[in-house]
Amino acid sequence: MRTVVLFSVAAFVALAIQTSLMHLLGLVTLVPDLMLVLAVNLGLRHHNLVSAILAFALGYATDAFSGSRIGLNTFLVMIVFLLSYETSRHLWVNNDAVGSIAVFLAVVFKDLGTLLLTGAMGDLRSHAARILAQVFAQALLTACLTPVVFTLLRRGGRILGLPAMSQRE
Amino acid sequence: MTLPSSDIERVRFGPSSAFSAAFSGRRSAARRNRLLLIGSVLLLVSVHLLSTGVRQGDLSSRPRGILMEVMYPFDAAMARMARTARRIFRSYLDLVGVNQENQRLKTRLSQLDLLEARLAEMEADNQRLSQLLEVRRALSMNAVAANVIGGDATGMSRTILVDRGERSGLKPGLAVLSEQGVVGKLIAVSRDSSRVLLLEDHNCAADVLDQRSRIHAIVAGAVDDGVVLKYVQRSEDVKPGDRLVTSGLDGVFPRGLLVGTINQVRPQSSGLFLDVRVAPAANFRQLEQVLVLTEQPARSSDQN
Repeated sequence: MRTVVLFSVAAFVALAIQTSLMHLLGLVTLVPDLMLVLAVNLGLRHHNLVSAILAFALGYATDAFSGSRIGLNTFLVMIVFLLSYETSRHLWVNNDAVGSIAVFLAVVFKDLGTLLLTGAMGDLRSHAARILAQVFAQALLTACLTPVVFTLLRRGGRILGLPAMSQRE
Repeated sequence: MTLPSSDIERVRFGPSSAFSAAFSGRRSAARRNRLLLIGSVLLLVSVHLLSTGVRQGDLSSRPRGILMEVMYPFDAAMARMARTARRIFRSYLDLVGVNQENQRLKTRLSQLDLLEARLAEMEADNQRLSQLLEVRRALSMNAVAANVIGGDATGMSRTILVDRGERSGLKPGLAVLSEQGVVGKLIAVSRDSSRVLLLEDHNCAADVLDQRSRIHAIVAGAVDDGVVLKYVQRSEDVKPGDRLVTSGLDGVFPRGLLVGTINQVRPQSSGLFLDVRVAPAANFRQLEQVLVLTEQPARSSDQN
């Protein structure tokens, strides 16, 4: 229940930043994917059934505020969550640098996945350099913000009385 | 003789400890399998959502409306706060370095500056709304003006959030315009807010007509942040500078609305078509107010 509260508040703030703040600052193409950071954090550090449902909800919430297809972000976020979970089972991830690398790869995967699933790969072939530069810039920005988000989640979790990291299996 | 470490553990803690370790291992494996199972089920649900194409009003689209409704006051408040902050910032920008002697006068001046900035902002709003009203009159269709209160949650799509929804008679599929030209169409509507798919998104398209040569084509967004004219054959007559207007054939946009101007034409490296770049008439980065048509136009017949 405490995890749900923590991640609901975090998702609300992340959505507000992604939809309103970045838009009002004039940053339209370079939006840090904070919702994905939350999903990666769930996969890396919260190993229970609730985290899978929360990851699904994060994807659905992103769909409500992005693009025209419901299910696209949900699908990609769920894959990122499951990959993060599997990664955390094989690598020692109690380090924000690893989290940043995971988020960087996750953003690249999700953005390219979005292009693939929306049938925009033709555009990617003809304007590859520009599109990839945008994808990598977005991934880099999100990865840079990851330690901040992870720290805030840790502090929020401590306030709510959550353990520092779920038990490794 | 040395014992293996597992035996040492067993000797130290007894058989019950080995049993509990085995039991806890089995329990954590079961927990892991359960998580992977539920994760896979949710993945399948998302594939189902993606493949079926949820429509407005469907059961699975309802949470989206609720989410938009929950976020609406927050988005609107942030938009208001940002506008106020921008106004104050502009007004105070020239007042850096005020000394003590001129404090009273400067304070008065700043108040007047604030007032002036507010008046200028109101005048600009007024001008924009008047232009929108002109567009509405010219179209002779019912429409409502809406304020832009948010953008897209990711950098890969181009959508905006406006502060009008079902209560103002809006529904998905309606055309959205600015005083400059076509902006996009509504894709999701909640009680008090709606999401607009901008013409520059690669999932948005409009049927258009070249005003000079009268050829039909499809204008659509490109992934690399631009607008292109699709399916124009190499033999067709399009030139930079040609104005593109809506044809009215797509049933979304009424005939004759300015969409943009062709600014680059070159043959594709392979294939039958030309690579045509379009400068959209609407400035998608500076949208503050838009006009949403509350009725869909009748499909006009081709009058070439």
